[in-house]
Amino acid sequence: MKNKFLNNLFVILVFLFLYLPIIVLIIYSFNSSQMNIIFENWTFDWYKEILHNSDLIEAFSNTLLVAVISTVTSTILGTISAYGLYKYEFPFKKLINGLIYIPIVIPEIVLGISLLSIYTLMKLQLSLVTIILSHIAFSIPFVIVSIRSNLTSQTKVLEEAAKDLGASPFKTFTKIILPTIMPGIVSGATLAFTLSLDDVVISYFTSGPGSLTLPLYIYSVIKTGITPDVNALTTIMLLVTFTILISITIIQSRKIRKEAL
Amino acid sequence: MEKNVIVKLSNVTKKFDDTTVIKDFSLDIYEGEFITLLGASGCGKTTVLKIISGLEDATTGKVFIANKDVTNVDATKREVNTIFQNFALFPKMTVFENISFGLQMKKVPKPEIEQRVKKVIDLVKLKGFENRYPHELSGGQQQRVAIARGVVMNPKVLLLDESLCSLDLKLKKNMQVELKRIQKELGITFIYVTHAQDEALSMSDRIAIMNQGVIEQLGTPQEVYSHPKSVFVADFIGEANILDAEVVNIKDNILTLSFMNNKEISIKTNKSFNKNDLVKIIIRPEDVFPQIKEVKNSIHGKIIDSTYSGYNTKLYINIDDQYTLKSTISDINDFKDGQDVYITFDKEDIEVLKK
Repeated sequence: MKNKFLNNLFVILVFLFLYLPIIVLIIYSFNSSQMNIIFENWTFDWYKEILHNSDLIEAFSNTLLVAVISTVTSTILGTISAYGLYKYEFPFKKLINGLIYIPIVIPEIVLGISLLSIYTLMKLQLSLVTIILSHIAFSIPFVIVSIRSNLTSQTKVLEEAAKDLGASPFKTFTKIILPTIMPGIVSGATLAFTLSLDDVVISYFTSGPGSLTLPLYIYSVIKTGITPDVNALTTIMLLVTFTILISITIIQSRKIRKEAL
Repeated sequence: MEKNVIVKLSNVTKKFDDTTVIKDFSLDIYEGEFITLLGASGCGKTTVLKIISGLEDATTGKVFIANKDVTNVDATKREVNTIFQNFALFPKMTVFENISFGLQMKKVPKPEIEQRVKKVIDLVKLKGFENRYPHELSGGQQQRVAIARGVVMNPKVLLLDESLCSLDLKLKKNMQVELKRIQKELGITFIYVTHAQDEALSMSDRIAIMNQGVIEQLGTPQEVYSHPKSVFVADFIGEANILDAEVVNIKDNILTLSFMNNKEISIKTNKSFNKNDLVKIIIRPEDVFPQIKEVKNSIHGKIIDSTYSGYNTKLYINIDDQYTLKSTISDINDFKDGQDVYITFDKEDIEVLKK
């Protein structure tokens, strides 16, 4: 019994360590005081204030735009690349397979600087377009890697079986391959979306005038101290991410349950 | 009875990069027969199957199905279907969806699909499982779905790639009987690929024993077992005592051989040999008879070991401290390890092969 109590206590401590800062942040977003130290009264003022802050609204919509476009593009490109890398033999395939991991492991700051220098070399005006391009670039490897784990030697046999039963390459892809790699596509896209949503470093290097994203805006605001409206804003962001994650989990588990029935 | 050739392979060679997997392979397969390609892994048997199904292209040579040259016809358009080694059922589809997949690809009208799927589900005894997913089925049921998915297409030939391999022994025996039943009911040609000689012997009308990309011997199970054409076949099919011998005399089809330290044996043969030819003789363990009392023309030996397998016992008999003969007997009672025995042979069933 004592052991069980210690176990539970340990679990609670871990969760507190992980989530206490977030809980504090959410609570202080309803704090009527300007200061983050004392809690005065409950208020929704900071949420109202956000709505009147046009800079913030613009940054928020920029962020969503970048996240959606880069997620869709990188998911499509990543799916095609992952399938191509699995399906076809070509020179230097092994090398390319290894190179995919490099954008994942190199420090973001290096990626940011190198992207900036290539845009400067190409004389590309820094704008939302350059941010989107950068986000697509760093998201693709994540999509490829998460899809690749769904493509095994068994997939090859399934393809042969489909071919044997008269399925065209297109039908084989849509009816056999896509359902097989769907979990990989979903988790890849989720990763790409959340990575894009909160990216600071790479966006910092590749954003231009008028293309501020939300993380960059927050970053610039907190230089003068954390204000309650930032708390409110991050609470909304949290809500958005949680909603996405929870709905994906529900959809996936429903699918699993449906298959199990 | 006139036999129609349904699949004809003529001088097929297959190379992967620089390695030749199949060498100048020719084989006629008849309509309605159950033929087995038997061989160790890597002998090219699965490649032959893939060349027939079109999943691999022959490097040279031609493939005919029902008298049509299909060498350059895509796998999707050949009237053959494959049952894959691990069944290769589509995991995200139900039993019904799996079985109807091929018909849907062929754009068969829906009512006809339902009717045909229902018929094969009855054939493979899977009624009530239509809406299950493959992972909810046992190995034997998955096997049945795989068979149904192939036969629903009404193929001219069904190709089975080590299809019973992954099943446990008891299920395997049941499925062997089932496969034969389904094949008889449908009357279509089955080409079965396996490395298990017992499956080959029990199910096939004919067996093609393959070794390093060529057919070593083609014949009925009885032929390949009783009259192996090579030492490889004798060794691969069943068990055999394979001994070196020399021809010492030939007289009217009676061959006198000297073997095992100049012991002599006379065997009837219709093959031609010359005096002093070096040969191999093949004696099946069930044709070796040990006796306790000395008899005329017997060979003396000593039992050194025995293994019991339920329906029979295998004795290992040492001769002159130099040779070991295997002998299977049904009754162990008279014999024990270390005992002296006198051996005679069933000479009718001894096979002599040129070295």
